[in-house]
Amino acid sequence: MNRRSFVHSLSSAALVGAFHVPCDGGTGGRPSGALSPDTDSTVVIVRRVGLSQLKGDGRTGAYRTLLEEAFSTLGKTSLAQRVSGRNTIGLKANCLAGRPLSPSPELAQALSGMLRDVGVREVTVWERTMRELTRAGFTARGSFTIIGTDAVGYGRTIYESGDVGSLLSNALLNSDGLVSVGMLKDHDLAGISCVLKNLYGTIHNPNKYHDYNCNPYVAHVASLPPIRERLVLSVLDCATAQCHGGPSYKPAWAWPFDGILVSFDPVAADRIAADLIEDQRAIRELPTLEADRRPPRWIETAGLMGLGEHRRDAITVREVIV
Amino acid sequence: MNRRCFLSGLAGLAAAPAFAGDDEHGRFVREAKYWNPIEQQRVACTLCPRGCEVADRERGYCGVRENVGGRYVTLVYGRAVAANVDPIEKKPLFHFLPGTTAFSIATAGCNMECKFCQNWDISQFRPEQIRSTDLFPTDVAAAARGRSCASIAYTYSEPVIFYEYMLDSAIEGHRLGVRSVMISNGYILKEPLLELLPRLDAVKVDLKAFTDTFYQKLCAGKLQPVLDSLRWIKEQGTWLEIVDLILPTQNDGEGEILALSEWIVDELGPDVPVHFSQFHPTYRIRNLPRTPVSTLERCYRIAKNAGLNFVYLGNVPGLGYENTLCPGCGTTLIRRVGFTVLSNTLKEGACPSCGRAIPGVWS
Ligand code: SF4
Repeated sequence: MNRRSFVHSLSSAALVGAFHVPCDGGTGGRPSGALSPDTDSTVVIVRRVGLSQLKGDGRTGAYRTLLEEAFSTLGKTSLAQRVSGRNTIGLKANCLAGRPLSPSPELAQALSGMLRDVGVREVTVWERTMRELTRAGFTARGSFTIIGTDAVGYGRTIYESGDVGSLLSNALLNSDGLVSVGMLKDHDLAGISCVLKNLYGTIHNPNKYHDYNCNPYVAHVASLPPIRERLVLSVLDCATAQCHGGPSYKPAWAWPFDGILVSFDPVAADRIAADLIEDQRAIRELPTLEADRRPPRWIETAGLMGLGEHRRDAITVREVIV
Repeated sequence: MNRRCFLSGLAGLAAAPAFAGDDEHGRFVREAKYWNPIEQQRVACTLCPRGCEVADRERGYCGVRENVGGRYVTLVYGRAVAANVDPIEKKPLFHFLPGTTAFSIATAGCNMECKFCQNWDISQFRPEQIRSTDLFPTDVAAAARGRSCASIAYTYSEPVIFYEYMLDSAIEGHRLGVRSVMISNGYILKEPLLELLPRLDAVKVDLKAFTDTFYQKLCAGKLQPVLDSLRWIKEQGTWLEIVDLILPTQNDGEGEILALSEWIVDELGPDVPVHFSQFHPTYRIRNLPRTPVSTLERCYRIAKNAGLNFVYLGNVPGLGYENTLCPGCGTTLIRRVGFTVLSNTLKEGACPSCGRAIPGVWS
């Protein structure tokens, strides 16, 4: 048995925050947030042979190159415009699967540097627990602060959107920008767990929203106002990807994709990510996610809710090899 | 219940750390009793009708059961987030040792999500998110006995999800002569329920409504499994009482109350006590008013006319609807205000006026 996966803690401050909270419900309407109808639905995939084998500074440098290429493809000033006016940006990393299938600290390091270069004052990397971050290799030595929600707790307000009602991590609420930093990987219930599914890690009760292959819940979580207002960027670390057996790491189904996927549109990013996973499943003669009874229908739901573009033919994909 | 008093019953217990959420040594972890392995290190939980299929490192809907490398475990064995000495009337159980107290415990988690949950600040959280303390089954039994409690009550959140902890606490309690009662939503599968019932002395089930729509929309559950559980509990002969929390406009229709009452009379018998309780705005339902007393009184009349012998109104103390009356001659047998028993004139479980036996556990 691996005890590390269920050893968590919460500070007393956080606990106090969880009790007797007012329920202010959803704010309704469309928040003036990061996701708007004119969000660019381009998805950029940048690959570098051997990325998954690199270590240390070489790996950080490689990620930096890939990110520069990605933002250059999206438009020279795109990142600066996207984060303009936001001082504290949190990178929500999906570290559930431990070091082999979690975003690389070197990617976070490179991204943090680029965000600082365009004027962001503080960058944090956060996840549900400090333990998960540590297991994934994150330390306090980077150019960012690492935060486990177990240390900072949840806010006092129940935010609601559709079927979802949740408290939100103070790591999210204390920042004014959010980057979903996920993996290119399969999920046994949601079909895939890449950009939007990663946001389950922002709420206190993710276990309540796994029925019906997480549809519509993934979309409803993403549309909780504080998330929707903050989500400025989606980055997938695809150095190692996994097409089956997720969300935990299963080496038999992992493959070196050796790249990253970047988009300002989280729905478009997930649409393309799902296609990449389906392609790999086809290569390995696995059934489609639909045939496996876990199609990620929530992608379409999210698109129809205005969170981004779900229609494949309306998404521009640019693939670059460096 | 006020959160600040959740752990008040623990005063005086030795070595209770402020926080047990970080469970560094896995001391609250036990292998779950009801699950099956499936492919890819996944597991199927067979404890409750939800039937969660859970991947490695993931948890079931209740948030307190986790797949650890293909093995399913409970994370809350001995991990109490509440421990109080309560009057048994607070459960409410009105025909079970009236005037006694119950050592009442809970863990985090629930297998439903009722949008009107009064204890959502424990039921809708994961164990590591809530202040807890070590209180293992032998401690529970000893604490109950030491506080002169006639029973241990598994309550506040949903005891089904801390099944192993409840089962072992009930066994330990019986060893010390302390009985056990489960305060539950009745959302449990037959096999675990049948294993549990011989260890329990009474069960209160929340029959939250009599429509599947209500269960699905407001509780994230289903009605039929609850009805099945009620039948099995009755068949096994464990003392049973039912509570129906009445939400204005949601489950208070005359037709629904009549159907519910008739179903109880037909399937469980007219002697099962039924408590209609007043709702007050909380958690995710804040836009409905408190249930008017007139609505509750209407429920009372409908249920009595349907043939139920023991109908009570909850959360509206002092109106006389908490008293136990003899269905034969109308004599007031047990007089209550709120959770306090003012008088009890039962003679060996029978009406002192007409001699009619009154169903319940009286001694
Ligand atoms: S007890 Fe919990 S894990 Fe098991 S089926 Fe019910 S909700 Fe799911």
